[in-house]
Amino acid sequence: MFDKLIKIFKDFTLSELLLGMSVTAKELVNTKITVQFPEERTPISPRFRGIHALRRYPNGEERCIACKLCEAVCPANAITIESEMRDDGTRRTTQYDIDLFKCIYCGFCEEACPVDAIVETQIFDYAFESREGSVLTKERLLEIGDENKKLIDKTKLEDSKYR
Amino acid sequence: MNEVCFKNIDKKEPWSLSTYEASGGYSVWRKILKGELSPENIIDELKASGLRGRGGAGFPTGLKWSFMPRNSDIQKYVVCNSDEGEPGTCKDRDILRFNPHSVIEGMAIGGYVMKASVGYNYIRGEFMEPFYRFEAALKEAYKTGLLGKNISGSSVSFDLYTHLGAGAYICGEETALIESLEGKKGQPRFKPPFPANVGLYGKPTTVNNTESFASVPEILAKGGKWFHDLGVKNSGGCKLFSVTGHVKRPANFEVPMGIPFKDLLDMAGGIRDGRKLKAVIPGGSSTPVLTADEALAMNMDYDSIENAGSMLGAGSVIVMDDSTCMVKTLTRLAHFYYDESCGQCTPCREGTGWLYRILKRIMDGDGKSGDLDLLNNVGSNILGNTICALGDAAAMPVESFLRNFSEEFEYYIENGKSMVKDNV
Amino acid sequence: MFEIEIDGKLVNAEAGEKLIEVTDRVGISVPRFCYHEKLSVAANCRMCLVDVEGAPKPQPACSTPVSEGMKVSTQNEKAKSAQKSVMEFLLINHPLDCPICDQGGECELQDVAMSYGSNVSRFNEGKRVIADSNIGALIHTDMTRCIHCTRCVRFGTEIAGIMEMGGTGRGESLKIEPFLNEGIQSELSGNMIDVCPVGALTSKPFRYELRSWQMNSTESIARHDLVGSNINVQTYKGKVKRIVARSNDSVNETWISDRDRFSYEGLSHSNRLLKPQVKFDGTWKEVSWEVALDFCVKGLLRSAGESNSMNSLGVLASKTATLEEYYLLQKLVSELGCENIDYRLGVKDTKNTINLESNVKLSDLEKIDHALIVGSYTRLEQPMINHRLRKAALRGGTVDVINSMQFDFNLALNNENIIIPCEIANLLASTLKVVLESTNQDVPEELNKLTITKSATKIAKKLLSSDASVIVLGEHVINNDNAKNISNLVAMLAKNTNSSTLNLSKTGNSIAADIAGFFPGKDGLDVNSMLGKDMNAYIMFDVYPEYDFHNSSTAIKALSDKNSFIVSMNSFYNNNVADYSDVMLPISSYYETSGTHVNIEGEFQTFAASVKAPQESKPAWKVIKVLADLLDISGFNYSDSSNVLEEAKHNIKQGHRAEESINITDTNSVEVIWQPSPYSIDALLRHSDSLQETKIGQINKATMNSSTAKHLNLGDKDDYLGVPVVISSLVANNCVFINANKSTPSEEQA
Repeated sequence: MFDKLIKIFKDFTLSELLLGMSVTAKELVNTKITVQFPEERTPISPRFRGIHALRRYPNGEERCIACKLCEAVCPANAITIESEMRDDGTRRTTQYDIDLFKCIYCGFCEEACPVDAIVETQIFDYAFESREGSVLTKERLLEIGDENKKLIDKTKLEDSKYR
Repeated sequence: MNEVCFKNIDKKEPWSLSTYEASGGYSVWRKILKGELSPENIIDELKASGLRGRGGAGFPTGLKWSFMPRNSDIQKYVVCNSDEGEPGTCKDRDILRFNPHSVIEGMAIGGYVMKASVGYNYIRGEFMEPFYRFEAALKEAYKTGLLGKNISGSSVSFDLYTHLGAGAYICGEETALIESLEGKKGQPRFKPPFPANVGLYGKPTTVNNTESFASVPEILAKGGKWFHDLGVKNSGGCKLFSVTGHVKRPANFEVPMGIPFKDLLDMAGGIRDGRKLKAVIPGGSSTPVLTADEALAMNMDYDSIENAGSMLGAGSVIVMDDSTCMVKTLTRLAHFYYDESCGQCTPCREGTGWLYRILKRIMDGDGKSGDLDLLNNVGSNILGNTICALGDAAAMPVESFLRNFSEEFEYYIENGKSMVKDNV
Repeated sequence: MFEIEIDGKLVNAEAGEKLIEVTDRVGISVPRFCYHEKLSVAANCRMCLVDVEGAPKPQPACSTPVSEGMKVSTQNEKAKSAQKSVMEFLLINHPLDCPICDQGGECELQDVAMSYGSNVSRFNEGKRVIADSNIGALIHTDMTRCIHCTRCVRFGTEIAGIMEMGGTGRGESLKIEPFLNEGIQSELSGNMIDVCPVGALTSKPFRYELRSWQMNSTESIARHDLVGSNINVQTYKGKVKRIVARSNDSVNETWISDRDRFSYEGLSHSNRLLKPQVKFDGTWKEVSWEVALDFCVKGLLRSAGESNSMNSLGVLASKTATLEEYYLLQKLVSELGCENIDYRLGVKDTKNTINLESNVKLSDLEKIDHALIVGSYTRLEQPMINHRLRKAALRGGTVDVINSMQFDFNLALNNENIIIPCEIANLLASTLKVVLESTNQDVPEELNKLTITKSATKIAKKLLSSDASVIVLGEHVINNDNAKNISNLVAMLAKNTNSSTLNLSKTGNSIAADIAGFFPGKDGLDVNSMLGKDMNAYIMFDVYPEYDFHNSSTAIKALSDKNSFIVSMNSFYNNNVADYSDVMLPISSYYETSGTHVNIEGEFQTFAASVKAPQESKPAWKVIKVLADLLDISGFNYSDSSNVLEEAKHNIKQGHRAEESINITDTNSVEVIWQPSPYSIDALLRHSDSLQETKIGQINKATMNSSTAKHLNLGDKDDYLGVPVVISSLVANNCVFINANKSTPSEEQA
């Protein structure tokens, strides 16, 4: 009985409508949270696992030493490496392919790398136009690494204290 | 004093055959050649004398000789270990210089007892004067017909050769010595088999210290009991002590076993003027170091020194006064073992270098707080895990230095300099 | 036999055994680095320290003999802490370069460190670094990784018999390195890679190519010598990448020769024949298998006649085929009604050559107390047999030698007779005479006129006084003018002295060829008669004329002149083959086909194909089968090479038994022994670049003494039969010993 009276009272005073309208009114003055991708981007964790890159040492030498631990650890068999002795006697890859169709972005390759050569960057918005484009070759990986050197260095530095 | 190995030391040309014979030398050997002494008699006499190996381990000589398969016909060897390389030891060289014939006679007797017709005296590479003295004595002995084949018509044959080492401390270890004698690189063999079964050229071999051999003729001439009664229980006879370090008159002293350390120190003229005794290493660098109090309370015999926490070793008493920096001393000792490790087995090859490097770092002022624990731990990891005793010898001083003088080490790590101000 | 207690378990042990042998047998794992079951005990790594009750210190399991009532713990606090501390010591100076180390993944140090190592390093000082020296084309060194276990040193002194590696310096600066700057020269050197527990010694041809976990491993048999060493062929993506030894105590123990280990390189040589080719109007065209085989069939039928009486067909094969291939080819040919079939291409006169059975087990060879080697440098020619002989010598056995040149044996020789080839028969005959006389037997007439020399008496006495002796007859006498006599003399000597015999002249897989009946039938022609006659057609199986024939130019001339129709099956391209053939069929090489090798014991060792034959080349037995089908011959319905083997086993043929007669001829001219150098004996080896780079691979010399050289008017800068002259007093007078990696002599030269 008493409940009924309250309901009638609420219905007549339009209180629920006003409650709803107040949210709308609040949002009318609040700053917008929508980001204008790609001009605007949300912050990403330094541990985000996006597209892969191969890094170089400051002197320009590629880091990868063809130990093939990433290839061994990769749960999706996405990595293919061929190696040989370079003329200067160092161990280097002649082929380093990552098949992005197979890759599950688990980050194990990065974990396994003893020289921090293969990394997963924060970049997630990439595309390719042909089927072959899904395979990142060694050249492409090094290119990604070179292009995003600053970004990679920054994220790795941020993450380093938790490792 | 000076009753056995050094009994002729005050005479003119004590190294000559005539001096040696005038004091009763070669009388035992001649008796043997006449067939008047049986090997069993000699072994019993040696056992009664309580003579223990003078090279450091202190194994009873009579017992050692009895281990040889005496009655089999295969070739056997006696070897004298004159590769005296332990820091602090300088007694064997003086025996070779001043009483070489006693070593020759002792070895010949050993050869007769163990039916070994060939003996080798392995002399340390740096000992040129002792080497020439010994060679000259050997020539005399051969000329007089005391050595050779079927000596003076008897059925006894004994040939003795001298071998000059090439300067490796490790060749003082008996199996490394045997390897070196065979012309190989001086590296200890693993045991068993022991040299008494498989020794030089794979044949049964007994290796004894120079002083042990030199004592044998006198023991047999005067009787085992006489020798035994010179010393104390478990440490029969007298022994050469090389007293070195910060004493006024460093020298070799042949004194009865069991004399108080204090008396020995007095014989050496006491500590340098104005200085106090700080530490003593009683048996050569491989034995644990003792503090002044521990040292002054002990007697110079096997049991007493062991009770004090160290070992008699080769009787090389290194005396240190209060100007000694113990960190520096230990670093120097560690360097010695690092340098002399043969490199054959892992703990010693890698461990001695590690010990030295940590100590060197402390000396350079880069010591860290955990270094002393690390030193102790590395030392104990070497201890007992190596083929020969060199690993143990490197590890033992570390433990005793750190135990007895830990505050000095802690001070050095903290301040980057020595606690001993007037250390030179 | 008594019981000891290990880790609370009672196990049986034999007196004299070492503790580690017992733990290994019962499956208790004790970590170790320096211990190797085929090498002497060094006890220097100290990793196998265990706690023996009653012993104050932990004892190394590898050097501690078991004794009754012994109680051992491999797991208690004392043992574990000793093992862990040794592990730490081993690691402090070991570089952390596992990611680039070829041993990574199969490294004993890595494995043991997983269970005994610590996860943090307490060693903060500088690590030891050691400069490397180049020790040859086969082994790469990274001595900074060395843990001084001295397995390689002990391997050199104990197994290879030459002390090439050794420890110099002492303490921390102890270095394991070759004493000389000439590199490692042993013919067994590759085993050092196997015994090295870390990555200090690794395979040079394999360097940085693959990780151990990437490869598939198949069991196979190496076919370069008479032993048939057991191997594991490791493959990756259809290519042979590495070969390692597989243990088989009755064959090769755990060792293999360098030949067997590194020959795989030739498989990927650019000179491989990869496509069937047919010669149209003098030019070669690559065609399909159908076309090529059709061409073969038509050509054979056209030139050699009816398909059941091809009398003018000649079939020649090299010594490297499998039993199945020999059998099938033989069957095919006999179905075609042809008996002209032979594999003894290098024999000057097949009527006058060695025919001797081998009747000693390899494992018994090391137990003999005397060996007489005739005409062989066993060390380089049959390394694994030499290894057994060396073992026998080390056990106190004696070895006598009758050779025409003094060789660098790695075993102590009791009595070395260096004589000119024509005298070998005489020496053996007079030895036989001494033997017969001293055993009071009748001396045959032929021997009566012989004078007995001192050396003959010596050899005879040794043979007679030994309980277990063996006479080894080698390759050097196959073309001796008295080869048959020598063979018979050896057989008679063996019979009369109760010795076993070992015929090392049956190289490659020729024992299998004999078993398969791959020799001329009753009216068939042997190789030399074929070449001398007008054969209208030939089937040539993996023949490389300049190396395989006794006289290369005569053979090549005979094959190209007659305008015969020649079908060649080869695994490698060869100019001469291309010149004389009409069809070239690419066939599989080693490890690309399944088959059977018959070793000197008569042991059938069957192996599966490790990889597919590259491109269009096919396993040879299949090619022969299809050829037979196309020729409408029935009975070739094999689905698998094992069917062929079954059939071959039921049709085992016996070689010709030679009659026992002796009729020694004398020669006065300079005698030549032509022996291919050890790494040139077959096509695969000749294409293995790393092996060719080694000192043994480079051997190419005609050795003669100065008076022979003077007689032939040669100096040490000249060539003799196309081979550089080396003047040395090691050779018997009037004899030239040629060790060549080039083709055999040609007629003009000879």
